Amino acid sequence: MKKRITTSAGTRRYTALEWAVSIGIGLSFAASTGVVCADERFFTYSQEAEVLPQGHWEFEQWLTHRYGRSGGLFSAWDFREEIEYGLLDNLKAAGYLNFRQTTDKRPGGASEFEFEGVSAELKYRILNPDIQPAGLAFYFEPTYNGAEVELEEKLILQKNFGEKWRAVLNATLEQEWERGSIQTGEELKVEFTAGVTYRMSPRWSVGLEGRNLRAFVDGIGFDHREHDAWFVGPNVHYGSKNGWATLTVLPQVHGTPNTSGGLQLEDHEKIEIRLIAGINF
Amino acid sequence: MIGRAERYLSPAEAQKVCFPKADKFEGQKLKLTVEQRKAIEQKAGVKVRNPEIRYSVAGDGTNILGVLMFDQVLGKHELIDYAAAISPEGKVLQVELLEYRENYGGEIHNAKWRDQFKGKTTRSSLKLNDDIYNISGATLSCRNVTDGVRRLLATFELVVRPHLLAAAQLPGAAAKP
Repeated sequence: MKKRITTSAGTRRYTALEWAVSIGIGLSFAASTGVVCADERFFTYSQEAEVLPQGHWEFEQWLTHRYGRSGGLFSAWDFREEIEYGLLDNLKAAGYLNFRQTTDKRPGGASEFEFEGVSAELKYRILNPDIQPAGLAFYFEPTYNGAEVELEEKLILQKNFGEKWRAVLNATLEQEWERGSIQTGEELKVEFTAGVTYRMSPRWSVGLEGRNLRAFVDGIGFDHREHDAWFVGPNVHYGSKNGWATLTVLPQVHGTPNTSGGLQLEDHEKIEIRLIAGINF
Repeated sequence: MIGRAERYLSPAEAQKVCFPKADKFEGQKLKLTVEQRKAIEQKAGVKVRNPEIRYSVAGDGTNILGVLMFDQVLGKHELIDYAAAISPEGKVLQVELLEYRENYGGEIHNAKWRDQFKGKTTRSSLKLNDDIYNISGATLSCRNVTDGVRRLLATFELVVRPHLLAAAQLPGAAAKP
């Protein structure tokens, strides 16, 4: 998923009303199926190896707030509406609508609400963590917004320790091509995310998530690492038979090259907060 | 939708379904001691969620036909109420689902899946994907009910059966598993 605040050429500007309508359409579609159920997520930055059962639907609303780049001049809200469907008991497909609200806090700066393209997703579970020693899944997500094409491949590992504890580790490769007026820009990102969570009661869990993002430039290769950043923070999860929600607060704890107090604030935010809610009907 | 939350049987109805020939049922409750809990957990390999056990002794005249043990296990978020009918010898006669509260995963009510438990004892493996097959999309429910039946069998053997023997409700020598 894209993290840049700057607006890409070719994206269309949407109003908050249009965005609200898009969510309404998504919710209505989910409700009309009558069979929506949750592919519950205990983490917001890491995927888990579990998938929706075959023939089931789910609607998820993502909300990510990012702020604290150099000078504190920008902040952003990322919105994603996701519809998931269980194609097989070990294969899930999903579609996303991506929107972004950016605020320029400099004198005369404006706020923009933009459509950031569409994404698709396939997740294939190889090992089920509920009945096998560990869970293993592969994940593929292409994104297109007119000016950019992005491919994301992910390896997902999950280990459950009894009914109370679960741990996940994701390794993600992300390639991005952006069409410019003269040439096409290319970027490669490698992301590692991990998390551990403890189920305090049947409905409440608390945990810790971590994320390391590394960006490489000058083509799709690992020749030159441009920047990287580490984030670690707590999360809380609530789930019931009707839906679930997970909130993560992820401050940056270290970044390279250092731009401010050991952090990398040119390309990464000081803090990210993400909420994902899955709704059952 | 398959697996929607549903109430299938009341405890009284479950008694009649599991022991249709019984002419009397005697409901009983027992509070497990710490030692008994540990012994059950060690034998079954499953945590004891509730230290109070509830069961009903089914009789036909002076004969004891068996015991219906009531239990709850956790599904994804909600508790699953179920009961296992156990013979005086300690064999599972039947497993019945009383109430399923989750929105999906309720395929475990399928009779073919529940029939797998018939004849199981504490000597059986009673493990998902071993002697109990899994239902895709209902894995957590399958696993937790399977673990629950293993716990009930251990509870019967270590606590309920000795209690019935002590109360002279079971003939000692003839009822050994």
